[in-house]
Amino acid sequence: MTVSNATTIMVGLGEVKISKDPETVLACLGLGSCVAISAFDATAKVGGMAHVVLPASHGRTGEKASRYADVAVPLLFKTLRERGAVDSRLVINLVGGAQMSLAAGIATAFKIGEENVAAVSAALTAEGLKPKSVELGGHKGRTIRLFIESGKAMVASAGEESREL
Amino acid sequence: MVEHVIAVEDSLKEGARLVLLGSQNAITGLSQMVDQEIEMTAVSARQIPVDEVPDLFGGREQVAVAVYLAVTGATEGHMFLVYPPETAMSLVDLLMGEEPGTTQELTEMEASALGEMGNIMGSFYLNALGDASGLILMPSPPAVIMDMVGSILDVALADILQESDDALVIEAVFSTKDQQINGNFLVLPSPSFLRELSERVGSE
Amino acid sequence: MPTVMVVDDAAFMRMRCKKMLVENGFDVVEAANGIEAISVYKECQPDMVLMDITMPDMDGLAALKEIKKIDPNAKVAMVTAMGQQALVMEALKTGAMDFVIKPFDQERVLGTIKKALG
Repeated sequence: MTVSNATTIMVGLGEVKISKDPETVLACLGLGSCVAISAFDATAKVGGMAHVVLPASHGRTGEKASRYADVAVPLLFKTLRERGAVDSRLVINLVGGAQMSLAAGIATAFKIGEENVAAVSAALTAEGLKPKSVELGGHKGRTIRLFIESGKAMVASAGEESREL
Repeated sequence: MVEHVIAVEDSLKEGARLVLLGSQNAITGLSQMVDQEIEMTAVSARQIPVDEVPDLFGGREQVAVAVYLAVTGATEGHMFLVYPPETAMSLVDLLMGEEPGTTQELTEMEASALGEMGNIMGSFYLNALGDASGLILMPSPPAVIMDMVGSILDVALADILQESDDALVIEAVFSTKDQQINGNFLVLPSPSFLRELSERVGSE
Repeated sequence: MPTVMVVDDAAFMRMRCKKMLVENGFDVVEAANGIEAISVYKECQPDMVLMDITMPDMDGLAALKEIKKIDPNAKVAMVTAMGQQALVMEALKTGAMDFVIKPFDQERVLGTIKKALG
C-alpha cells in the first residue's frame, strides 16, 4: 500500500475530523488515556475520527465540548451522516483508554482511561452503533491511522510494527 | 543561563517566579544524587495551548522515558522528567555505577533508579515551594514510563483541560558539563496551584 | 549483629542501603511500604528503622505512628527527600529520632544508626 502522496490530518485532543479525500489519512498519535473513534463508509467513501479526552461534559457546550465522549460521539456520527454515511455501512474502531502507569500511589489519577472507554462505549450504544474492532485498555500508548483511500485502519505502539484493525 | 517568564497574567507572576526558582532546587537534588555538576541551561514559565505541550519533546509520537509524579497536599499538579531513551539508559549507568553503555533496557531495578531520581528532583522542587509559601506539598510515588510522549502526557493534559485550554508549563532544561546527560524537568501546575501560590507569596 | 529495617518503595534505594549496611556489619530486613513496615517490624523486631516518607498504600509518617504504638522505644530515623519544615516537625513530634535528607551521605546515616544503638 503506497501512501507517498497522502497527507496526514492530525486529529488532536478534543477534535473531530471528517475526510472524503482519498489522499488523506486521519490520525490520532500517542493515545494514552484518550480514546480514538474511527469510522468509515466504503460506499460513501467518507471517514471520520474523534479524539476523546474526558468522559462527561456535564452540560458544557461549544466548540471545545468535543473533548468529552458524550459530545464527540454524537457529533462524529451526525457529521458523517451529513456527508453521506449510512449507519449500517459504517465500520467503526475504538482505540486507546490505556492506564499508562502501574504506580500504586497514583492509581486513582490514572483511572481516566477506563472512564473514557466506558463513556465512549455507552455513547456508541446510544447511537445504535457497534464497533468492529477495539484495542482498548492495557498499559501502552497507541497510534491509529485511517486511510481514506481504502478505509484501512492501522494501529501501532512504540517499538512494534503497525497492524491492521 | 536563559530565563523566561512569558505570557503569564500579572496576578500570577509572583507564583510563576517562585515556581521557576523551585526548578533550581530540583537540579541541585539531581546533582547531589549523581555526584556530578549539573547546570540548568534554560528555565521558562509560559502559558501555551494544551495540545502544544507534546511538541516540547519532539511531538506526540516521539518515544521518551518519563518519570511522572503527581503533586498532592495543599494543591495539585503534575511533574514530569523527560529524557530521550538513550539518555535515560546513560543516567541509569551513572546511578548504578556501571560502565556507560551497559544499560540497554529498563527492567524493575533500572526503572526504580530512575524513579528515585524523579522522587528526589520532585521533592526538592516541592520543598522550595513549600517552604517559601508555607503550603505542604507532597509528591506521589513516582511512575516510570517509556512510551510515546502523547500517551505519557495524556492524563496530565486531560486534567488541565477540565479547567483550562492553556497549560502553564514550567520547563527547566539541564545538562552535565560534557552534555552526556541532558533532560527536561516539566511542571504542569493545576490552575488552582498557581493561584494558591501567588496568594500566599503575595501576602508574605 | 544489630538488625536495621530499611523501608523504601524504591527497590534501587533498598539495594543501595542494604549494601552499605551489610558492608558495615549490620543485618538488614526490608519493607516496600508502610503496611509491610509494620508487619516486618512485628515479626523481626529490628534494632533500628530507616524510614522513607513517600510510599504507596501507607506513607512513612503513618507507619512511624503505628510502630511507635507497638513499641514506644522504637528507634526510627526518617530518610527522605521531603525536607519541608512542617514535615520535619511532625516526624520529630511523632517520635522519629532523626530526619535525614536524601540524597544522603553514608557517614550521616551510619552516624544516626550509631546514635540510635547507643
